Amino acid sequence: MKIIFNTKELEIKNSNLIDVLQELDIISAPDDVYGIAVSVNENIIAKSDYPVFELKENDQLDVFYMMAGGM
Amino acid sequence: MSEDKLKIGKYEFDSRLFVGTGKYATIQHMTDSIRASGTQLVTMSVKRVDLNRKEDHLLAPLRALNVSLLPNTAGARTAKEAVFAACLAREALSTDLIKLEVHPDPKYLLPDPVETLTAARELVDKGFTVLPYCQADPVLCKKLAEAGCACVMPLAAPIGSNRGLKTLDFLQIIIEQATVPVVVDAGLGAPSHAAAAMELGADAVLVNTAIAVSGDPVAMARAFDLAVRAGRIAYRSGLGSSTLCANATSNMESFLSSLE
Repeated sequence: MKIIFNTKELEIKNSNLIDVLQELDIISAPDDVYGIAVSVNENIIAKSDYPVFELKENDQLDVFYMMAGGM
Repeated sequence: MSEDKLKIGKYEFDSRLFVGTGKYATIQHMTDSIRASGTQLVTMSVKRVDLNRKEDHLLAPLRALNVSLLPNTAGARTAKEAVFAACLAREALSTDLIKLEVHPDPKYLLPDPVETLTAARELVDKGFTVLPYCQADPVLCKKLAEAGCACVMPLAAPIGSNRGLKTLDFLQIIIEQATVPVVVDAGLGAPSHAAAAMELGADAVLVNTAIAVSGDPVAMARAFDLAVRAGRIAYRSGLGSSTLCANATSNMESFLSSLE
């Protein structure tokens, strides 16, 4: 299935959000989601919905994490 | 002296030094410096995952330090982007704390006052504890407080410039009028700058670059901690008034008269 990942086209095997995050090596286990946030088509997905969320063809998936920063 | 906790919204802190996590040479430098600073609140940013790059994992070492995390909206150029970044950060970290930053100009990184106020109002409505980075503008700071921000964070000088209290006169007015804590943010380049801000009556300061890029970040973090404490004690002690003329500290009259 083709999706748009962080502005670029990407071919993925899975459709379940947790499975996709693991497929892309963003998380190592289903409960390894602290510190990341996900939006699909610019809607932020609640972590509690990750296990049941199914991506569709051409969905825009954006994944964010916390990085160093300050002043 | 009585207990002296800093209250930002519903949160309380013993340390009045907030620190950033950027620009350190290694994660070990960062964690050692944070520990040495005695801080209880550290800032982080939200960024898109890059699948082609192995990212540093900061969260585990930071959580081991038992400090609160203050996500920021750095990189946002509009109120809309800042609100989106704040919502992402809340989802990522399960915190309602947000350091609001809106700076459209990459050269000076000066905060946009209109977009900051717009975003602050929306974030307060959404239940965030908002800590807005802003110009040292007394009118704006008053409006941010009225909008429900938990504190105001006026800049001392441009971000990362290490130039010190370039906005001193305006900071003084902001502090005098404040109804929420004033956290002096950005541009503090030396512990003496932090001490001066605290002596002025600032409730806290935020420092990153000055610690991270110093020759010995761990020692510098400790120096900032001591400076903030010293400045706060001096402020609470009540500084003596300054005069142009000398004012002898011992009675000179009797000594001079004995020579006659």
